[in-house]
Amino acid sequence: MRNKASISSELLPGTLEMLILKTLSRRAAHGYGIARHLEQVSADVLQVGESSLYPALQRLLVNGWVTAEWGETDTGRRARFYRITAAGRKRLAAEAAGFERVVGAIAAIMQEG
Amino acid sequence: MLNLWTRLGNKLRYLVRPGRIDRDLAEELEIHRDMLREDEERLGASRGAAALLARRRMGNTPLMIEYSRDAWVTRWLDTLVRDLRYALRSFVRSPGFTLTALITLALGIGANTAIFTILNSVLLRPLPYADPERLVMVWGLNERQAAVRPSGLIEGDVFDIRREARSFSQLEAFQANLVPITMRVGSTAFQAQAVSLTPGTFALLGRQAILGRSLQEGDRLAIVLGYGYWQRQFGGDRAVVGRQVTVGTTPATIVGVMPRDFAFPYRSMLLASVSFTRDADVDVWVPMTLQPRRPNDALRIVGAVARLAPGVTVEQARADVGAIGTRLAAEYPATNAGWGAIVSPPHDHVVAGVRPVLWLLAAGVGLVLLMACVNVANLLLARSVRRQREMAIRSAVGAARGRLLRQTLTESALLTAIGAALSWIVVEWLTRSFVLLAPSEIPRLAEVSPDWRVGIYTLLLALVTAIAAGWLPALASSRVDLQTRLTDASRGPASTRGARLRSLLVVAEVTLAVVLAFGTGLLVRSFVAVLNVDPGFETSHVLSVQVTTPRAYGTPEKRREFYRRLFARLEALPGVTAVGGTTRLPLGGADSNTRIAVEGRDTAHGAFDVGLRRAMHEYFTAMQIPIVRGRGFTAADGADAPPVVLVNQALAARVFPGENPIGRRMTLADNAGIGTATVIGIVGDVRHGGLESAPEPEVYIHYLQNPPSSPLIVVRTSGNPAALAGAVRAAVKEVDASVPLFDMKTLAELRTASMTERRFITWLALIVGAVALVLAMVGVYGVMAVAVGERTQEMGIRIALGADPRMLLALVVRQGVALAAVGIAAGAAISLVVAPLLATQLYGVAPRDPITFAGVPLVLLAAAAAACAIPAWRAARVDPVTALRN
Repeated sequence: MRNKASISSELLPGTLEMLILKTLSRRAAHGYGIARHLEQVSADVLQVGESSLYPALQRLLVNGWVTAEWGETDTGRRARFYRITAAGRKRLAAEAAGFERVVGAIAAIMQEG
Repeated sequence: MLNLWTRLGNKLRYLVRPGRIDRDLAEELEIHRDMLREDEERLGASRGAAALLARRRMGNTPLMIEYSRDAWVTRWLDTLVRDLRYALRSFVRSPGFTLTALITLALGIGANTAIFTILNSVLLRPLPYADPERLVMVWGLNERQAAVRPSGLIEGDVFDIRREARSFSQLEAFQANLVPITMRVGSTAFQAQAVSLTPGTFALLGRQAILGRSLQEGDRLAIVLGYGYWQRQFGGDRAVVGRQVTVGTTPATIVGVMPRDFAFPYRSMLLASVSFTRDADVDVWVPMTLQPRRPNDALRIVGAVARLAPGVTVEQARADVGAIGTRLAAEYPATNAGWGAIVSPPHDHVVAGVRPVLWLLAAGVGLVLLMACVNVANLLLARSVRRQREMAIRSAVGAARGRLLRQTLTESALLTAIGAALSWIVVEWLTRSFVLLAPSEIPRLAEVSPDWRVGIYTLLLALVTAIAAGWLPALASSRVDLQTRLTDASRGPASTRGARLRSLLVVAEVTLAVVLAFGTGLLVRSFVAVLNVDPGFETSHVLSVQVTTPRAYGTPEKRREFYRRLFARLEALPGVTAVGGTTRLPLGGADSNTRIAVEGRDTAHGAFDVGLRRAMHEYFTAMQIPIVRGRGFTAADGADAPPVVLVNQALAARVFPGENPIGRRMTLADNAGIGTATVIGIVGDVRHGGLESAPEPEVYIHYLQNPPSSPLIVVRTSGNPAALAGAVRAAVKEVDASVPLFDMKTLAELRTASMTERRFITWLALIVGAVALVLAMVGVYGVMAVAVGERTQEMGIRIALGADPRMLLALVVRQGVALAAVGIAAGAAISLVVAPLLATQLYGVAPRDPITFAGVPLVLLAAAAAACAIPAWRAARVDPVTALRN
């Protein structure tokens, strides 16, 4: 427990899960693909460490927000693909709404003075 | 909410197959690393550099797996599994400790569960009838009697109550006596205990036969067998249903067999407390027809059971029946003056007598379990002292205090869980032995069986035990003083606080043992007192046997003639000094009552309900019951002579206080069969109801003036009465071979049998007391052994400096005994306060009996000294060289 904070310290708690769900909402992907996608879209601002990615994926699995299945990549290599579930989409919507509120609030404070 | 279930389901799936998820994750991470490496290579890194970069980026893979696993496994569950595994390993490493603790716990929990099984079946479960809460019993109550003890009703009373009471939807009657009958099947005669009841009783109680049918309305010549009798006499033969038999002289058909757990009436619903008879020991149920009132019928032998009408409460029924009783007393003063009618729930009636015994027993074994907990706590503590260094190291590398605490609690919980599981062997065995050995005074033994309540009880008990045995050791072991422990864990005057705690526990244990030993002591003293009770007659050298005169002896004249020849023949036997007979033997045998009206007094002051006895031939000589005043019966008091009676001292004191009863005349109720008679003498009191019940007023009539048909013959001999059995049998056969003999026994056997309940309680008390004593000794031994072990070095130095080994021996014993003395003082103080709780179970001894209060502390002190012997001997034998080198 005591190391959890340091793992995801770059992000607000719970944000990583939301980002993963957002990534998966476009299409199914494997762990590596998710990490690269997050880096590319954020223009390398968000470095998603593998050490936080996989625990986060496991939490999503436990909650039933994503499912995982072994399959093949375009290059014919074996990989585990994650797919968002209906419950996951609902969760994403809720998280996104909450995130916008928080970001809005933070922005308001920052612009104050 | 839905999500919670998904999560729980997923987690459970992980718990079932943890390997699969771990493997998936490991493979996934490997692929991830490969992808990383390939990307680096594509960007131009060398093969080796790419692999290194990839590995560095991935970081600590096992740790990552560990964190990923966190998502699946709740942390406490994982910890629990680890603690359990650790505890199991440590148990295997110290088998002596484990075995001692497990046996103690299994016995403690087992004994408690067994007693609860019995208590639950006997006291807590409703009676095995349909809708038992709506059933009530109707009894008579003598308003003049000091003790409120319900008695039977006159048949006519029941008839009137059944007709007039508005509170019941159904009321049925039964004869509240077991009647010995002779049943003939073909040419074989069986003796059986019968109860006659109105046939509707079975429907009222809502129980079916397991074979054939029970009695129904309109049955006159049908009988139903009890399960035990069916097994014993007919070997469980299913063809018995439909068979023709003769009951006494009446032909009847066996229509069915009742189930094993069916009992009615319960033993305590019988008026004569028939000893040696268990609840389910009614052999045969015979139909009875409830007759309207007969003038001058004062026989109170009928009981009634009724079902409350819908919406009627017990209180309303009580008022209703009470009013009818009052009206009957006014209308029929000759038979009913001073009598009322009462209503009581049957369950109370059945279990009231046994309730205090069972609760006391439960309290006793409860205390034993508490002592077992203290012992296990002590063992755990002693072990935790040895493990202090380990705990200190774990604490130093960052184990939280709560973690250490939880670990010790886990150990005690695991011990208790295994102990509780093992205890089921003990429970089974203890319960069965109890049912087998228990005296017939304890009701509902045929119904003893475990149920869900017993399961829940065991679980709760185990939980409480785990906490009781574990919390002190857990607290002590988690409070580790790092510095002293790491630098020096095994030497020096270690753990004074732990030692003090252990001493305190032992003091508590001795205290409990003392309380239990006091209870045992008082009950043993009561047993001795009962052994020494003078029953009022001489029990040695007397043989008794029941004879039943067949139909040929239908008239009083024929019976008189038969008895004359029988007594003459028996008196001629060598060694026989006196022969007599009666209809009810003393010491808890069956009872029979009559009502006397003293001439010259009005009914309000001159009528008494007293015991009715018959004396045959030289009964008083054979029994050695003294004639204290006046004269005894003689052959001259025959059928044509004026009717005479003897009264016992209790009757003289009650009915004729300060007067001379001899020469007074009294009218006896019809069942005595002699009308108005003159008192010719006073005989000594006899303990008719049992050794522990005071003599009641009794009147004796002479057999020549009303010859009985099924008497008990008593034969006094100068030699061994049991050796006379064959001769007596032959003598009866010589007089008339068609007369059956039953139930031959010596009066010494009768006396022994009448003490069954007292003996049983005493045995239980002795077992509980002995176990408590042993547990206390083990406790004292354990503490002293550890103390000596810790001070081996000190002892070595003392010896090296020239101390006398005997002094060391004395030192250890003194310490142990001092510890025990504190417990004994505390225990004695507590016992003084709680001893009166035992009062109802004591006989002839005060709850604060000085002999017990002097003896028990001595026994405990001696036991404590004995328990110190081995540690003391070890201390005196310490080899200074070895001790100092270590």
